[in-house]
Amino acid sequence: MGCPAMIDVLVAYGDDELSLSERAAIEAHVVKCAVCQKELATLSALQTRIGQSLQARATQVAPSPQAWSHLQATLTRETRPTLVWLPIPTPTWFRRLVSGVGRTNQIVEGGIAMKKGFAVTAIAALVMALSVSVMALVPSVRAEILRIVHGSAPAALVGRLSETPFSGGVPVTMTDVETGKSTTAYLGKMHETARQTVSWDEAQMAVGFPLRQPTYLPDGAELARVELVTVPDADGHPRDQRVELVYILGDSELMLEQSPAFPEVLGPPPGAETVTVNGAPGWTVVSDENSILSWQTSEARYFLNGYLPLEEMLKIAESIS
Amino acid sequence: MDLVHRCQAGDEEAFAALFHQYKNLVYRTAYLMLGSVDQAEETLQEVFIRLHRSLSTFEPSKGAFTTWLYRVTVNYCLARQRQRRPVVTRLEECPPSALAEQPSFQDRLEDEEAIGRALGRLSEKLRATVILRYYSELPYTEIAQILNIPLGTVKSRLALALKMLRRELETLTEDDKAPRKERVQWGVQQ
Repeated sequence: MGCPAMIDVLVAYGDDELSLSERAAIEAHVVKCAVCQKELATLSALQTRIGQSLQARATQVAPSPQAWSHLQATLTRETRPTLVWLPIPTPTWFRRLVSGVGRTNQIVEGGIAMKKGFAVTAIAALVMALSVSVMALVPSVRAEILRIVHGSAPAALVGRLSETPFSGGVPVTMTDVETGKSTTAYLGKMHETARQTVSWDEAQMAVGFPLRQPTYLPDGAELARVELVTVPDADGHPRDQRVELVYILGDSELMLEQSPAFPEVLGPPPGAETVTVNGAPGWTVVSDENSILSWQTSEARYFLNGYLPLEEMLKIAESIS
Repeated sequence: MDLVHRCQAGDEEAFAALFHQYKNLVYRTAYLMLGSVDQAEETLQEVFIRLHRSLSTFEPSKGAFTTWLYRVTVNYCLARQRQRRPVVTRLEECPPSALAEQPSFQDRLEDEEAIGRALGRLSEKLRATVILRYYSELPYTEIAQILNIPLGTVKSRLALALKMLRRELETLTEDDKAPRKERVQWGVQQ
């Protein structure tokens, strides 16, 4: 080994990280010290070799060709707006979820796009808070509240909500009602969804996945209408289209919604139970008066909403092929 | 407007371009630190997800974008490494008679596997410092910023790392003559 006091400095010398005066001092010493000369040569060889070895290892590997598409899919899911359609009037405590600028109060009146995590918390809290009055609400409204958890509710307004600022985004303060934690998010311009009654053939031509009808329906159920719902993206351009088959059953309705399959199957919302429909993963929320059943196959995502026992709902769902 | 500014303004195409421009930097740094292509791929995803979320907080006046990117990458890798338990492997005893020819230190320098093993035996922090200097070829001042340590600590870490690497490569020749001891293998098992 070289002179103990020189070892650490020799490394920095070999890396060319010394000042001019420090370099001069080292060189003046090394010229006179054979031991440090040898030490410097050894260190220099080691530094070079380490660099070569690391370079050789690194150039043998590269990101997968799917890396970007995988990232895109993740980022799309993260910023995907989840629409909340609020019953009117909106409880005051819920309005406190979004506060700040006046515009957000207006948005709350008509509906608001919330990031999924907040939406789940907010709506779960809303449902719990209204647990008694929920039963008294018109069943279709209550079904809307429960469907919101999965972002699959018929959307009246859609806008971008993101934790990072973007052009045109208005800062809003969002508070999680359960934890009290506040965060700043950015809300973009809201765009309306379009809903129109169409024929079966028109609906099939409009969407890019095969539409299905159940072969089993409860006695007396009749197809009343087919609705094509066009959901805009954050910039107002048509993004997704889904089809709703509305059946009349006595004095109530049974609705079957079909939309393109998500790249990944979403987990059940809070309070839901997992089920399988012909082997496909799904979930269900059942109350005394209403049932919701959702499942996804490789080609489409289904959402069945009606005032039937779960057994009947499953029978209808399993007849869709 | 450069790529980073455009990304901060919400330009998603600029973000795609940013990804393609820096994906190798992130991936290969992570690979060298973690020793696994799967974990390097995961690190790549996670770093750019974090980038997408927090790019608005990046202030060019406080440093180069690559410094920031390295910091996110290295910090993620260090956190991952802290979650892993090293595997202690008892190597087979090797009779001295089978090792009549002892490779020299210079021979070991040419032995890619030997260098790999020696690097793997450095601590995570020392290995990170070595990678940033001898693979990324960053100056000491930038390494100090990335690792959030004083310049003097960068110098002492590199000096210590080279001492340890050298000792590993030299003592491998010594150990060949004696029963091998238990050693920790780098990056084998989580």
